[in-house]
Amino acid sequence: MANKITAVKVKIKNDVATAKMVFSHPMMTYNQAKAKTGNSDDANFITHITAKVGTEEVLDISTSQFFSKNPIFKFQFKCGTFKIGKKLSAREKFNGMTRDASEQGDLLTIVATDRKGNIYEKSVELASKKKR
Amino acid sequence: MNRRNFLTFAGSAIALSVLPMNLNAKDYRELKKDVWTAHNIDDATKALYGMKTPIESDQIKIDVPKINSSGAAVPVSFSTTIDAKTIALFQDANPESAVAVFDVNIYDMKKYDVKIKMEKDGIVMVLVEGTDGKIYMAKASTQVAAGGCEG
Repeated sequence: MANKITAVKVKIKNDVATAKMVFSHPMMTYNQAKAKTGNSDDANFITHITAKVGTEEVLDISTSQFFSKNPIFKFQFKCGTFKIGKKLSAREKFNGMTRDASEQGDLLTIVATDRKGNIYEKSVELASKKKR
Repeated sequence: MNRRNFLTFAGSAIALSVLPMNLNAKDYRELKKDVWTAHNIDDATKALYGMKTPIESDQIKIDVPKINSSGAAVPVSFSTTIDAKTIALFQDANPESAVAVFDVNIYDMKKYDVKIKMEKDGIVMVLVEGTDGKIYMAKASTQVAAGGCEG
């Protein structure tokens, strides 16, 4: 299975955004690599994760091989200064409602780098159903 | 020191001082290489924060299940109210100690949930480098029924 950022979800409440991300990655440790291929240098795991809204960094973390396989990671950040878009409910979407360009929020971009130098990226919009 | 040598020296010094400014992100794997190869928590702490002794603090909260059926994914959630510069997550069950180093920014709520691997029973430790220069720590022990690193 291809390695990727599987999903990023953002919930916003009282100017605090909770972002939850799921990766598809074997996160192979040196010991596991040695048992599997005989070469501990085959180990591959995510080494760095950053999250940005526009140019502002909201998360910066250096990680090691001891994150679980297909890791799940959750963090919170203050989003009061960012633009939050309006999320349409299922009914509004069903009724064919569309949003104005002005109702679109800023994008949260997650970038992850692994030991082999591959870069994974995913963006989600900061949006909430409630009126602000 | 002759002039030519001085110029190259000055040039490289400027290049070195400019380079980290361009990189917004702090890669602790490059900055502190020893942390990631340290085999116990003490060594990792020394490699990351120098010789400072961590102070135990109740302003750091760690939530780990007491007993895990599998060590492949141990959910760890932790938070702190200390004004922090960096936060480090260590454990002593695996061959190396370091799990993650967080660089805290102004938007950060300093509350994280993460799943980690643990080979055997051990201690999960969170270290916080405060903006006052002191190191705070809190730890929690957990039991693992089946190790997660052999897979």
